[in-house]
Amino acid sequence: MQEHVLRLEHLKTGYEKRIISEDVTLAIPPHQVTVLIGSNGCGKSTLLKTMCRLNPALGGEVLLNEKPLSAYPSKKLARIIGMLPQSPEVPEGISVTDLVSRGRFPYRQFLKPLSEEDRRAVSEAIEEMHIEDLADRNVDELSGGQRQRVWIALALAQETDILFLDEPTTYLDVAYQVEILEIVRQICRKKGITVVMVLHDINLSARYADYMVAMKKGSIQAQGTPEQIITEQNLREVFGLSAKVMTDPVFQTPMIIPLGVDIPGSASS
Amino acid sequence: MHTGKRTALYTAVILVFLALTCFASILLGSRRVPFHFLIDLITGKDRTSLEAAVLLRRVPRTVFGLLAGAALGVSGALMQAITKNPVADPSILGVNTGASLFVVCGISFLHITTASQYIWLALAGAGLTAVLVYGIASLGNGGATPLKLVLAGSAASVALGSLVSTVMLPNSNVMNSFRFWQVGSIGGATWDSIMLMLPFLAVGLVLAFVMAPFLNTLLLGDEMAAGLGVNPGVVRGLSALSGIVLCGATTALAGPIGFVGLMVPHVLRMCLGSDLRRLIPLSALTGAVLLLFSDIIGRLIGYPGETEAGIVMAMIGAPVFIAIVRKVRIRSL
Repeated sequence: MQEHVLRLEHLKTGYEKRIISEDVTLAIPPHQVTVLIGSNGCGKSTLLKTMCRLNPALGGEVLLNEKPLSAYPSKKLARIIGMLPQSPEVPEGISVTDLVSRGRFPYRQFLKPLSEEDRRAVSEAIEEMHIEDLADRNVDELSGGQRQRVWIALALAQETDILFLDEPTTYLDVAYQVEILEIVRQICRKKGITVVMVLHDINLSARYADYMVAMKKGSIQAQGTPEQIITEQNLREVFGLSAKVMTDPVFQTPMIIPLGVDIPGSASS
Repeated sequence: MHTGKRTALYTAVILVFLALTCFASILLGSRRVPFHFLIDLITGKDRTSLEAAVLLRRVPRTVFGLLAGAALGVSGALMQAITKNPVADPSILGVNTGASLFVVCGISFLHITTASQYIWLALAGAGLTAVLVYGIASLGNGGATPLKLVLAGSAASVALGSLVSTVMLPNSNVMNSFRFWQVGSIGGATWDSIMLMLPFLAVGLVLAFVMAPFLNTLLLGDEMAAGLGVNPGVVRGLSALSGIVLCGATTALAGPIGFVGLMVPHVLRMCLGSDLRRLIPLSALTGAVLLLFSDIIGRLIGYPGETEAGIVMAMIGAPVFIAIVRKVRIRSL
C-alpha cells in the first residue's frame, strides 16, 4: 500500500462568519491512532472535517503527500480518506449489507453491479466488525451499538488508508465504547492504516491513542503520547478541570480521577 | 420476504397491470367497441373500419397517460429524496403554482387558447419558479438544504397561488378556460402534444436514472456523501432540475395532477426500501399504471361523458393511500 502522509500547515478553519481555528500546524503520525481531545466547542470536530475536505479550509493548507487536498479529484480522494461523521442518516428499509456496500461508492462504475473486489471488501468489513449475523437485518431494527458497528464497517469497506471518526463512541454504553475502540485499534495495527478520531472520554482516549492532540479555543495546546498529554497541568489548562492523574494498574496508561471544575465563586478547590 | 425477491415479484405484477391497463384504455370509452375489433386492429386485419378509427384515436391518450404518470412518479421519487420528506410531492418546490400563474396570465393578458402555447408558458413558469425557489433556499449557510428547499417552496406556492387568484377571479372568461386546465386531464392529448413534451421527458428521465446512485449516497447525510466523494449541492441541484422538468412538462400539458407523485414513491419505498436505483424505475412504471387506470375509471363513472383523471386520482387515491400507510405502519410496529 502506498504510504499517505497528512499534515496541516497554518490551517484556518471555521465558517464564513465565524473563524474557529486561526492557525493550526500539525503532522498526523501515519499508521497510528491519533485522538483529538478538548472541551465542547473547541474546534476539534471542525478541524476533523476540514482535514477531510468536508469543510473548506479558510486559509493555509491541508497537505496529503505534500499536495493540497483540493488538487485531488473527489472520487480519488474518497479512496484515500474515509470519514464517519457524528450523525449519519439511515435510509429507510436498508439492509446491513446494502448499507455497508455504499462504502464502495468511490470504486463503483456507472451502471455496473458490485465487482468481485467490491464484494470482497464488503464481506471483509462485515467480518472485521463482527456483524455477520446482522448482515441480512434491516438497519432500522438495530440498537445504537450495533448500528455504530455497521457504520464503521461502511467506512472500512471504503478501504481508505486514512480514516477519520468523529466521536464514534458517543451515545454508546461503556461495553460498546470499549468494543468499538478495541476493534478500531486492532484494524489500525493489522492494516497499517492511519486513524484520527475525536473522543470525549479521557481514560479511554489515553488507553487507545498512540498520539494525542489537546485543543483549546481553536488552537493546539499540547500534542504527544498519552503520557505526555494527560497531565494534571494540561487537564487544568484544556478543560479547566482539576484532576488526579495516576497510572492505570492494568494497562499502565495514564488514568484520571476528576476532582472538580474551577467555577468562579464556588467553594470547592 | 427478501427485498430483492419482493422487488422482482412486484416488477412482474406491475408489468402485467401495465399491459392490462393499456388494453383497457384503448378498448374502453364513451363509445363502446366490441373486443374483437381490438384483436383485429392489433393483428392488422382491420385498420379502416369506424370502430378501428375510434380505437386508434384512444392511442395517443393512452401513450400520454403512460408518459405523464411515469414522469410524475419519478418526479415524486426525486423530490422525496432531495427534500428527505417522505410525503413530498412534485409540486413541493412550487413548480405547479408557477406553471399555473403563467398559464392564467397567458389566458388573461395574451388571450392564449391552444395547448402548444400553454405548454411553453407552463414550462417557463415552472422553470422560473424552480430557479427562484432554489435561489432563495441557497441563501445563507450550508446552501440549499432539504429544510430550506421545502420552506422556500411552500412560501413561493402560497405567494404565487394568491397571484393566480388575483389575475383570475375578476374575469369569468379567464376562469372558464383556466379551470379546464387546472383540473388535470389527459383527455386532450394528441400526437403533436406528445412530441412536444417528449424531449423534456427524455432528458428528465435519463437525468433521474443517472442521479439515482448519487442520490443514494445523499440519503446517508450530506457529510457521509461528501466523504464518499459526492458533491451534495450538485447532486441535489441536478436531481431537482430533473424533477422539475418532468413535473413541469407534464403539468403544462395535462394541468396539475396531484397524488401520483406523492403516493407512488411513498408506498413503494415503504414496501421495497429506499434504494433509488430500484425506486425510480418502479415509480415510473407504477405511476404510469395508476394515472392510466384513473383515466379509465373516469371514463367509466362519467359515462357517457368523462370525469377527469385528476379528480378520480384524488377521490380513489386518498382513501387507498391512507389505508396502505396505516397497514404498513401497523405491521412494522
